[in-house]
Amino acid sequence: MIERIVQHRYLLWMLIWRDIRIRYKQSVMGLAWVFFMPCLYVGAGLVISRVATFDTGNIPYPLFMLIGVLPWTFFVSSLKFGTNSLASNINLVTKIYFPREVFPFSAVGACFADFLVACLLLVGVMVFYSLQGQAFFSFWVLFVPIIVIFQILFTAGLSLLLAMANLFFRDTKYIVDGILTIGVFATPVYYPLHGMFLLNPMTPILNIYRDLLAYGRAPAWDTVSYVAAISLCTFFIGWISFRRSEFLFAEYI
Amino acid sequence: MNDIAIEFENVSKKFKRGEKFDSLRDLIPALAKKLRSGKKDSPSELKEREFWALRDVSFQVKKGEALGIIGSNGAGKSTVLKILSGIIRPTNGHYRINGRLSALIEVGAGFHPDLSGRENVFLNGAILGMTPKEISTRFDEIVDFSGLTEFIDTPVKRYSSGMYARLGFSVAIHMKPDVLLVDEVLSVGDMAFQAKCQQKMQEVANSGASIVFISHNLYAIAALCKQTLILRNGRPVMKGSTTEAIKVYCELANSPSDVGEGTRLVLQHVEIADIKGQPGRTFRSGQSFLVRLNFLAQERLEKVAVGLWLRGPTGEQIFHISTQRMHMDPIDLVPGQEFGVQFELAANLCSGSYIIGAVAKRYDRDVTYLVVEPVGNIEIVAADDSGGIAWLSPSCKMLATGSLSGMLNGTSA
Repeated sequence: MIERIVQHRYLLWMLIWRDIRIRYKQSVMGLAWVFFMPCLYVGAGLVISRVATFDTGNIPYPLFMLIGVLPWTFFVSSLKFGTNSLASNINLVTKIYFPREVFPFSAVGACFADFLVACLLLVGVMVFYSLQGQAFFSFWVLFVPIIVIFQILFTAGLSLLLAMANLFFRDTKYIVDGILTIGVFATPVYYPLHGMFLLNPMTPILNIYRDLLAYGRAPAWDTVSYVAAISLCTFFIGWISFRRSEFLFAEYI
Repeated sequence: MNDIAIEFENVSKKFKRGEKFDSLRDLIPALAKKLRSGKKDSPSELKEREFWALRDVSFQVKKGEALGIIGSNGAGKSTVLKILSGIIRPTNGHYRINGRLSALIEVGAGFHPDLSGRENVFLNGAILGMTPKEISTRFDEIVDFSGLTEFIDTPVKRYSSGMYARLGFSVAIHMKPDVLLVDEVLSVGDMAFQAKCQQKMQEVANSGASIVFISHNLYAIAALCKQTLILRNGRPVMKGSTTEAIKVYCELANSPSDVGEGTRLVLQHVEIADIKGQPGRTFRSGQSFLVRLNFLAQERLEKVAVGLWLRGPTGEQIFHISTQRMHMDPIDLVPGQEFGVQFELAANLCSGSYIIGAVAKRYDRDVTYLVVEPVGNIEIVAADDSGGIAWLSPSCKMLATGSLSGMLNGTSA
């Protein structure tokens, strides 16, 4: 299974490159688009913080919020592009054969590239608050990539399932859009959430990011194992069911 | 065993007519209904609205061999290629391919309009399964063959459809595949490029690759393939030498059962005869011949007009006429009523096999009652060797050099 992707890694790269290239071609803002969505979310957060206060410990609210906003926008854009990835490449799906999972994967990959660039914003904000003595870099930052990998696996797994669903039922993307719009309230993007909200896998993921980046402390290990289990399961269930129904794609379009 | 490149064994493919569930809203009630009836699918039976696109098709292609597949529209040719390329899976039977496969099913399918020709070569190459190294080393060759060197940094959305196809073909053919699948792609591009493609495919075949070639262009098939398979309504009719197959294919064109009978009107009888009424199918260039069509109405039909056309050896329509166009009044029919139409045509045609098709329709409302193609075919034998389709009753004489200038002077005066 992995072997197939290794074999087609160049194709995956080319499709990621294509998606990135097309998004920034013929657009006035160019690379500034990467910062656009996160900035909108931050703007909304600043409005929210005018009318409500949240217990963020000793963390400045903009930093608290940004740590949630960046992974969340990565998640949202990946799912949106991922869900559409097969339907928008119909001519390839019906005309040429190669492992179809490269479509959702490349959608997530292109969004990940955006995410990496947008993270510069976070670095800037963190440096700013460190200089003011309101934030600090701890060695826990080194564990961030591991959680990023779990988030990618979870997102990719969901994208596989949704891309497939959207191919058979074109209303899937509207449902996904709707859930993602409301989802921000069920996820600790603007305010801390615990308890039953942990059922939403993005909740523990964002909480762990905050532990590592803002609070500089070890995350709860049961939460980490929970995240690991959920993302690996989603990824493999997604991939296996995708592989199983792949041969139906060209017929059912 | 190892010299077999493609093996296709008793392959069948079932398709469903009409729409599948396209939205969850439609699916949920349908699933509930299915659960209640509790029926299981069986792979070898047809359910409602299903049909066999392919039925028990078997063939083998050896390394370095080219197989042509011919058949009328809907005979299952493209389904064969789609199965071979892995896009769809057969319902029954199995197939095997040894070696690297490249499919010219739709050239340039992976092109993105906003990217330049250069970028698209790399993208399309990757989609077809080439490594970056292969693409880089063959890049100049690819661009050169397409003849688009000047435009290679232009976004392909500004390309003409011919340029688009040229670049697409060029990328695919330079993949150096072991097995090449070609589906009627040569109908794009100008004559010069078509000839170039034809030659390139020949080169690929000579280099030891196997080819499966689908085309309506019997000449192109004959030029490339020694072996040809005929499909008809998803079933194999014959597989043999291309010359033999083309002959059989043209004869098949004689049986009107090939195209389904209309429910409202039935073509009962077709007769092709010379001007004296003597039945026959072979005529000399310039000779007149008759086509008689007898219809039987199943329903009450109003204002029926009958049309007739001829297709040339390469499938293009070369002539079309109808009772309406000849200013004859359309007729009204009652159920069970028979009627006949006789067309007289002059065979001003060059040597070759020509296919006749017929239509019965109501012109003022554009309602088609029946289309039958082929209703039959005719063989034309020209007195002299000639090329092309139209017979322009040539005659010639040699002129002495002296009289040449005289004639030119004469015309200018």
